[in-house]
Amino acid sequence: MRKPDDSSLTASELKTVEKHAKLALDKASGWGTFPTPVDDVLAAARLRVAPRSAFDMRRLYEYAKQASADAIQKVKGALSKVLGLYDATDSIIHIDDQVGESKQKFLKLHETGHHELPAHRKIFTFFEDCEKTLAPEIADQFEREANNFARYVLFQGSTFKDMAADEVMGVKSPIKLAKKFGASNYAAFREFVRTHHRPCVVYALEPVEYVAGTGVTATVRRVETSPSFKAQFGSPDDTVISGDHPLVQLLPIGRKMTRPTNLVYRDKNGEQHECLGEAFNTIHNVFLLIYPVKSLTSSGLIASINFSVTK
Amino acid sequence: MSLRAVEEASEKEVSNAYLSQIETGKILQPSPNILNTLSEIYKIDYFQLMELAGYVSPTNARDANERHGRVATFAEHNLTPEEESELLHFLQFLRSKKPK
Repeated sequence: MRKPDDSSLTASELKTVEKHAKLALDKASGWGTFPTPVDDVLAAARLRVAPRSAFDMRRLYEYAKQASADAIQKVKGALSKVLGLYDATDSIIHIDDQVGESKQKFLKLHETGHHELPAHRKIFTFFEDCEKTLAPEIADQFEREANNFARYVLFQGSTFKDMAADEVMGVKSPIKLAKKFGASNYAAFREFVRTHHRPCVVYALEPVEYVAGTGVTATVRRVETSPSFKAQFGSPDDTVISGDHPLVQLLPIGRKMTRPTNLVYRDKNGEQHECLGEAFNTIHNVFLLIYPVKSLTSSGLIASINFSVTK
Repeated sequence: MSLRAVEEASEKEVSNAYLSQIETGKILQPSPNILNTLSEIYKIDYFQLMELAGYVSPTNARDANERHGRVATFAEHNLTPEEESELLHFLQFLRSKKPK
């Protein structure tokens, strides 16, 4: 299933978030240090990571000595849905250490966002002793703000974007930059496309599955487009890549990568563009990166696939 | 305080024009960040402003499918009100057991 929007903010909201993210990097003297010194950012924010976190089962066993079986069951249920949490009362964060190291960095920065944005920190101390909650749409907005905080700090403002502009277009660049910044491939691919000056689109897919009778299929988790791609081609709304979908040929089957492959995309004006599509396969995701290389005249040299993404 | 003075005190986060729209009721729900900034400038309670803006509601008003909002999490799925409440109790317990 396509994941819900986790990052859109209005320009003024984004500005506020980035102001606080910038201050957080300033305090940690983190600019220009690679990988991004996440622990320094936390230390400068006077925020601690719980050494024995809520995700440590031993803590739950201790709690079981005094809490009811039902309460323990509920806490277990809650923890199974959560990867990180911020305890505003104690300025401490709890991170699920079962997730990969690069994802943990993002989680830490996300929780730091709740701490460094005063509108978040102040409110979360209030709900301890009353039966009140943030309205769901504001809770969602706070999550998007914390994600943008994390993204700004992790990629050091526009530093990632500027470096990406000097790299070649293709899957190797976000992979290389992910290592440099200490980001997950997932975060780096999204940032790469979202900020790129050239038209490009990335599909983040669930791992490829083999279904008897229908062949390979991969569910779309998320699609990111660069601003120029969106303006020229629109935003793809595919939910699954399978059957005779033109992108099936990109799916890396039993391989780590799919080499650049020719595709033809039709833009909003009906003009055809020769594109290249590549794939990169990790344990958690498959990324398809597609970018136009030249526009085709009406005499059309190739007609491999007429894949229109315009609605 | 004049509108322009507020604009300055907020480092332009709350513009003169925006504030005037709040005052005339054209903007009924300023964002939480703006409410926080205004609460600091006017020295009023932020939580109260959040309640007045309709951003805080009783826990039993939330549908279990909607985003939980009592504890700050990075969550793949929304917690039920009961799960969230018990998680808060668990966090209280963890704080009380903090190694000195």
